[in-house]
Amino acid sequence: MAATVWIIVPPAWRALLNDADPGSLRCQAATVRAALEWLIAAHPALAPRLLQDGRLPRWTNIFLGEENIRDLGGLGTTLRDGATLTVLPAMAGG
Amino acid sequence: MIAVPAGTAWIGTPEASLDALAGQQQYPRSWFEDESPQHPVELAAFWIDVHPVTNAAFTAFTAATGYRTAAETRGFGLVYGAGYWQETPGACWRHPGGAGDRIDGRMDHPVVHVTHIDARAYAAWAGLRLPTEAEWEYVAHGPTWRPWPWGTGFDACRANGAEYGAVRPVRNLEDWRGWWARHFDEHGTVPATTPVTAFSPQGDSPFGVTDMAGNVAEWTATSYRLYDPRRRYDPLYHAAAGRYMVVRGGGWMHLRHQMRTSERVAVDPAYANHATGFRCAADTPRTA
Repeated sequence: MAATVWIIVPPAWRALLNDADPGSLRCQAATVRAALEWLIAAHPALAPRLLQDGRLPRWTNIFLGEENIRDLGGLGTTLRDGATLTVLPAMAGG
Repeated sequence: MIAVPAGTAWIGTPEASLDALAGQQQYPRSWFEDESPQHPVELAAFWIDVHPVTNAAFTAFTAATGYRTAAETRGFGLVYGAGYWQETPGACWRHPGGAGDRIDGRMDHPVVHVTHIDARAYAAWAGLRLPTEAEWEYVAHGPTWRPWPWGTGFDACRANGAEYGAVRPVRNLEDWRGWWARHFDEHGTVPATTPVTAFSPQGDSPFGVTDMAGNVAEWTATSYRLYDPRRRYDPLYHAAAGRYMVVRGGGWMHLRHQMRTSERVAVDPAYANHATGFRCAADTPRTA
């Protein structure tokens, strides 16, 4: 069952978001994969940063709360209502 | 290794330099705010490698131990392709540009495609450790802060970065994309590392240490933290704090502002690419 999920992407990606606020993206999604697919559908320029051949590439991490989803169920990790996903490049800054 | 005496290290970038930096490239000052405030750190005496760990040294390590890096184990490495990062089958420290590329003839170049765990494994085998972030920065600029190891003015001939040998200015991201397109046409994904002594002595730091700017970005032993935890930084940096490790120095594909002595990058310790390596430090040298 889909949950209401908040997604936070890096402010430096603002130019790829068609002026959407990178701190207030919201969707209905049952899993991390569904949330990312929504994000890519809404903002296609994010696609190479978020998925490669349907997998989460090593240059991007997704945190569910404080946990890296690679340490949970990966893209299949289920989401609860009110969950927050933080998208964090593997190299931040510089 | 080179001995570094105990001293007070001023870590971080002065405010005036951060203000000036904002007008010299594409990012606002907030992008560099994690270099502030500049603050003193007391350092005990330590030793540090004169140059990054080379392919030759890493070969000796793997020959002695049978160690396999994360990239070797998973079967792919990260390289920058025509327009973005890509997971390339076979890319690893032995084949930096991909399966068809070999380090033969580049044994005196820095090793790349090493994660933080890989770097620590090498250091443990060598009886050494990674330098802390403060040690690394102190070695880069010395007791008196300076933005590049050799001084206050950037000089493309003193470090292996994107501007080295470039036929056109490479000052911002737009310039960089043009530079990368030309570079990729000529070299593909093969990293443009150079021998670790190629920029010595002209690029050396005040302590006589080389490649502190450019060639490869370098892992440190320090978990990424914000210098003033009460201050509001870019949310990206708050998200990285406590999760990532600090990488310093910039590499062969980076712009001048990314090769500054106080520049900080927060990096997932499981990450590796064809522009990141490391050097070692020690409390006492292996041999006097």
